[in-house]
Amino acid sequence: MADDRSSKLLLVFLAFAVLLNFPVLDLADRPGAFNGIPRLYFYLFFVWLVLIVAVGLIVRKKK
Amino acid sequence: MGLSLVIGCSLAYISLLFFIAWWVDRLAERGVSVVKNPYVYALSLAVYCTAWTFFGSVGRATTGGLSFLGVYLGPSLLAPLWYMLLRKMILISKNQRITSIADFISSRYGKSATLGVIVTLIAVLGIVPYISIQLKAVTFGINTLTHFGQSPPPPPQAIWLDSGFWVAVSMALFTVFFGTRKLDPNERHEGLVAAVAFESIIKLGAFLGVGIFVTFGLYHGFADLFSQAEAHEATARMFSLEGSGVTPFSWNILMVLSLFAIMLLPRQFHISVVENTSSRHISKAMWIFPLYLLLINIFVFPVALAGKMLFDGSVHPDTYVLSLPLARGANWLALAAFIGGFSAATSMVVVEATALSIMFSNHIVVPLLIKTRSIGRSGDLVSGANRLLDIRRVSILILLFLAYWYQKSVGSTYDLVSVGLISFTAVAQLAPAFIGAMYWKRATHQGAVTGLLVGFLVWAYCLPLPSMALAGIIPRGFVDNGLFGIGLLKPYALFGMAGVDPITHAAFWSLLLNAWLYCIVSINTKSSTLNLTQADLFVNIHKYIGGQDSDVLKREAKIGDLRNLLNRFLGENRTIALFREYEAANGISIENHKVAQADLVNFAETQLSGAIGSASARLVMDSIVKEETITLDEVMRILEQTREAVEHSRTMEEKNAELKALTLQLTAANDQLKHLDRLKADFITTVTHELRTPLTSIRSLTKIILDYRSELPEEKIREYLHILVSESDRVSRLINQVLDLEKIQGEAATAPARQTIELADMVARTAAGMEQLFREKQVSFSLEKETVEGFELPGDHDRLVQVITNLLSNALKFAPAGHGQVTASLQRQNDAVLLRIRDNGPGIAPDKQTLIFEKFTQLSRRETGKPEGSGLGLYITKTIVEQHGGQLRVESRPGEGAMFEVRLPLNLG
Repeated sequence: MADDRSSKLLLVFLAFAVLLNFPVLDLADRPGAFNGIPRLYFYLFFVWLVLIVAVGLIVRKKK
Repeated sequence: MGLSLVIGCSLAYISLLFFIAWWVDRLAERGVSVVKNPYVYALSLAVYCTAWTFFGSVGRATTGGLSFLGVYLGPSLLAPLWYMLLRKMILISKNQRITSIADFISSRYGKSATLGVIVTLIAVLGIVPYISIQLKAVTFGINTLTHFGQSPPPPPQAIWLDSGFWVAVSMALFTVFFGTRKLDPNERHEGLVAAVAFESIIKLGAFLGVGIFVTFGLYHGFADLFSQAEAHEATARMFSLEGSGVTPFSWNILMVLSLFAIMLLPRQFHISVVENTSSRHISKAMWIFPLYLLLINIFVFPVALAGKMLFDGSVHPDTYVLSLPLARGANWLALAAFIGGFSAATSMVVVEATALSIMFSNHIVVPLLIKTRSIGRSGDLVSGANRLLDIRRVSILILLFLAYWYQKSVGSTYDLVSVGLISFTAVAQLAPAFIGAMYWKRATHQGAVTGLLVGFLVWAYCLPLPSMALAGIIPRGFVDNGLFGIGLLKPYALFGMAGVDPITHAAFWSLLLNAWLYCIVSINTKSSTLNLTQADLFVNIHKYIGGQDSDVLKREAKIGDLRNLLNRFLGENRTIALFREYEAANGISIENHKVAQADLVNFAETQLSGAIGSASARLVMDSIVKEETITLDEVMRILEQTREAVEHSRTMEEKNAELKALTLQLTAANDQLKHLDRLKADFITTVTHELRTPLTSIRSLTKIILDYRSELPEEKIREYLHILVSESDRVSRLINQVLDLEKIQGEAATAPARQTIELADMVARTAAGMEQLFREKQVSFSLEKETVEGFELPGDHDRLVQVITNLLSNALKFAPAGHGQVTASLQRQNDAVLLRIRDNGPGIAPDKQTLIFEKFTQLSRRETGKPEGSGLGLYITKTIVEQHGGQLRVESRPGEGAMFEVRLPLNLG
């Protein structure tokens, strides 16, 4: 249902708007690394990728 | 590396782009659309990634750490909302034939020419810095490739020796060839879109190539690069935003700016909305485009770290993408990287300049020409589709020249991203009016104008003006001390807000004041009718899709004028095709009409909007259109009134008719009453007179007998006594007849009793009863019957006897004594019986023949003495006959006797 999708996508927008902005971003903006990848760098790209996958899954054509 | 090689490769690359565009356009003409594809759409959206992304992000990362990512995270964050937002933008734009962001905003707020101008100025002036960094990046790239490792070339002596100038010129020519080849009413350029999509692949590939070369060629992967960088003094602080001097405030503002930019940048609007072939492509673009952004950014940070570590400040960070391969002798990779950056720059310039030139010509030049009446009329200087294209070509040249000038005078001292963000801040000023356009119906034209103007002025005061002052173009006093020496008006610390970077500072204040004033003014002003209808159309676009445009302004224009106008702007062939399309869609023939109705006028205006923008189209249309300007309220009121009036007048008419009928009845009744009254008066006069006459003679004769009884001879007395008897008879007969009359008239309403009457028998018996009278007067009587039988009819016995008696005594009365003859005859005629009674008396004059049937009409027979009878006989007879559904008439000529004919129907049905 189209309306259903719109609401889901709006929720995705709100959730990631929180994740990608301060103050939540401050939690990742600290020294440290994940498998040799700097913490903030990893966090931003990981959240970004999750956002893309989430959107892709929601708009995927239903069989 | 030789300059000729670099230029040769660039030209070859441009030729390839031309070939792609030409090939795609040719396919499109054959009906094969390469562009109609969600992947091409998503890739063309990547026109967002310019030389800024390609060269500038790396430079930015060296100072601002990961803050460069904000520019790409904003659009990625907005992508989920495209499902509603972008779809709505596309629906509205297709419905209204909107061709630019200026068109969109001007169309929403009542097709306002003013707003078109304001938005165009904001866009053009705001984007000039952005274009300038593309020129700068390409110039930088060429210089890096040709002079790597040498001291920078000395500043050129003349403008034609400056490579930047030639970059600007070639970019301008390239744009002119690409963007203004033909005038398409939908502003669709399939070749351009295909070329842009192709360039997106090239720039992504080139950047990934450099990134992989740096990360895996110069270092052993990400972990190695990062660990080395963390150990390095110059790069260690780049890993955190805090360490890079990025405040949460500036990060959040950057996210907001980029989020707006992806919607509002003229080239993004052009590619995502105007060039969109199907709104179904949005879904795929929603995740492919962010993925593209993610990929092109993965290696930015590693490249920046590597450059910083390897060059340690000896090379400009904006050129790391080229310098790193060059430093390791990978010249071909450097050349490929340059082509990638060149791709990014050219695609941006071409699309941006094309979009801006459309805005510039449609919202500034054309309205101006229309206002000064030098376009849109026959025999004018500037008209026709080619002229429109010329205007666009000139605007592109002006735009590129402005950008070149800006780069030379102001931009050279700043890095790419700082300059680019000035443009982002300018374009973000459109956001309140733009978002309100789609979701806030109450927003007014005045609100949009105020918000935009104030936002633009604050932006100009806080960003480009101080930078121009610092470059020495204008006096710099206001930067240090504030305007008019007021400290609170310092452009980098407005209202005392210090310690914030200029972009964040300017964006905050300009957007805040802009949005605030937009809302406040909108709430306190009233919408025009057109603004109201457009607002409804924009906000509730789904209501209008597939339906007719609802235009309360009923407009008319002459077909000929309309045709001339379209010819002038769209060309003759296109006009004919459009009219045919309209005829086919509506099933009417335009040739048969002289006047174009509102529907056709709207259609033509929408088509024209595609070529010259909605506000200009409105202006041109106004010159030929007769319009009834009425407000919506008035329309509603008129409709309401009309409905009421119709209802009211209908009841009034009904009442009126009733009244009229009633009046007629009353008049008739009154007439009848008056008539009756007169008749009654007449009747009484006549009756008393008739009674007095015999009474007078009775009285006088009685007196004579009483006084002279002894002297009068016996005979005389006998004679007098006879007279007394006959006069008494006359009085009693008169009284009887008056009573009869009353009785008959009283019963007039009720039908006479129905008995079966044998008329022939009745006539014979009545005549026999009067035999003595006939004999006395010596008048002969005869009865003639045509047939023996068949005179039975329904009727009232006593009354019909009276009819016969009256007619016979009447005939007897007038028949001459001695040789008189009275004849009665009976005859069948169709469904009626005719009874004729004839006498051979003196006859009746023609003028008296209708009179005799009236009450108390006695034929004055002065020659025969006083009248006999009461004058009621024939009247009573006629009344009875008519009560039986028959007729009584007379035929007579003076001296030839009279014939009374009674016609009685055999059945009354």
